[in-house]
Amino acid sequence: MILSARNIKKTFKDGDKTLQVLKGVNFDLDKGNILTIKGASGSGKSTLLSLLGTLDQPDSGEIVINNNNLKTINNYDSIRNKHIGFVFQFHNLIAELNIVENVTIPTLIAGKNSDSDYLNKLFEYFDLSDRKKSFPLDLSGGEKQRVSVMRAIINKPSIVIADEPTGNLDEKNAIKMIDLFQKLKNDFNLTFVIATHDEKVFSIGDKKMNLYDGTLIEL
Amino acid sequence: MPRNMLEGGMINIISFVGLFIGAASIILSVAVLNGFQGILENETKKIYGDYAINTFDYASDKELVDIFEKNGIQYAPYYEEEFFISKNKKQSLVNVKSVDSSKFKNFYDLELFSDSQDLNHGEIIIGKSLADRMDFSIGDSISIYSTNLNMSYLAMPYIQQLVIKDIFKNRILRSDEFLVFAVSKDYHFPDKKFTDIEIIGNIDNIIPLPNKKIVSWKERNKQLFDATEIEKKITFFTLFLIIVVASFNLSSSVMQIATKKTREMAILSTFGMSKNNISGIFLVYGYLLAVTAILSGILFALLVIFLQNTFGIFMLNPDFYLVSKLPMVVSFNDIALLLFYSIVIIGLFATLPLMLIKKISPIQLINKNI
Repeated sequence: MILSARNIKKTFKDGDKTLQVLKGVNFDLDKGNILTIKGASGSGKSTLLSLLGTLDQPDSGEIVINNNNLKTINNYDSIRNKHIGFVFQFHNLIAELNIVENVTIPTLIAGKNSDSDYLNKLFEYFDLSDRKKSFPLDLSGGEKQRVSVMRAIINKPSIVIADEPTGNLDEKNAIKMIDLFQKLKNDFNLTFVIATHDEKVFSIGDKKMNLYDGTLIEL
Repeated sequence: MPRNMLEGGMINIISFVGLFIGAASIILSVAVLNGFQGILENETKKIYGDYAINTFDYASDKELVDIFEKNGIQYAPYYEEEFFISKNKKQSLVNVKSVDSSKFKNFYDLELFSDSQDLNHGEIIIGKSLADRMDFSIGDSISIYSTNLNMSYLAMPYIQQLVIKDIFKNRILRSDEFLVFAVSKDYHFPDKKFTDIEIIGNIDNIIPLPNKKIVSWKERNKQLFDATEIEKKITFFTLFLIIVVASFNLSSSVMQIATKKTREMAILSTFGMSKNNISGIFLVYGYLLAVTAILSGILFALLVIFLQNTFGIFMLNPDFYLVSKLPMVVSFNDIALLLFYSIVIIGLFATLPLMLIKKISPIQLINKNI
């Protein structure tokens, strides 16, 4: 098991009002599997991804990523850098950096030098070899999102968290992205947690769950 | 394509120029003050030597004289007393420095109008201001008598006639208004002995001298040199305010960039860069900008000083300023002090915007609010 969540609860306060977004989320995910989560807007999908991605902490409950219990971890930055990759709805590439520089951000943060063979193979795999020195502004929407996926997996993370990864793509590029996730799962044995509204994306999950009323229900 | 993630535009240029001007003006101003202080020092030493010992007696201090001679240190014993000096109906109070005639020419570096090589019995050398005020000329005969009003056996004050051998020019401490050189035992104190001795040379390896208190030229003219030191410090800190103001500007520059780059900071944070490291980027950026500006300012000032000392770009009226060109002396202590204070101040101001960085939350990124 690469990821498990036990009784995760999260409440937000807005003045006098208290909103319990997550009321006890539980799931387990094995390595090389895709977990897809759907739910209505405001149901707490992004909140759950924030907690799984160590960007926020739950009020209670336990998250274990690749045998690292987050309750016992002090340095979440290091956990994020080593074990978690992120793909956002928007590509969130840094406009001033070229594509290679954008892709290798997590490697540089880890204080490592990029393995040029691995990097070249990755660029070939993503069919972006001729775009290495380009800047994000020169790329199409689909290319940008592929670059953001490359950036997410460059450090060979335990899990890749994707929040509405096709939300900003046209249908053609969305299908390409779905295929890419499945290919990456098979070729690199990668584990994905994907939150989506898109039924096509939702359908690729080895485990499909619906976030409803603060709890996850397996479908 | 854009490559500078931290571009700050006009506000960066203003910060740079402010820091540049601040650093250059401090180094230039302090160099001028150092230059004038050096002239003061040189001119003062010409008439006071490097050190003085105010308890000296030729007979009992033979050992001391031997030490000086053995170590190649120049010395000149003297006796100083106030006298009235008069010619016709004009009178003036002067300080007569009675010196050993054999030591006079080599020890005191006086700018003499007639370039007299010696000073003999019955002769006196007076300052130019005194000569102008009293209308004295070289070769004039003047009367001199003690302010103590020592009487002769006829109950008359001792009055000595002396001839003005030469006139010296040295406006430091108004010395050419009141200081007069004469040869000892020239006037009514045939048994008067030297009481003081002035020294030129490095005495570090012979001190402590037995039972002697040594006073440096600086201590003898403490008020003047303390005043010049204070003037230097006030100038330094007043001009340093330019750097403080420019640092405020730098702070707002870093703040502006940090505000513009919130999304990029959130991306870096999401992929595991610690907030301290993100802050470090801005701190290094602030320091690079500031240190480059300050070093450029210092280099510019050094260039101006070099050109001034080589070609004499800024000329002065020597009647007023003692020198014909603006004196400039670089002190590496001042440069080190400027760099040290700048680094502290810039560190403080560049750190302020980092508070903003600490508040950056990558959650906004995942929630698509950025």
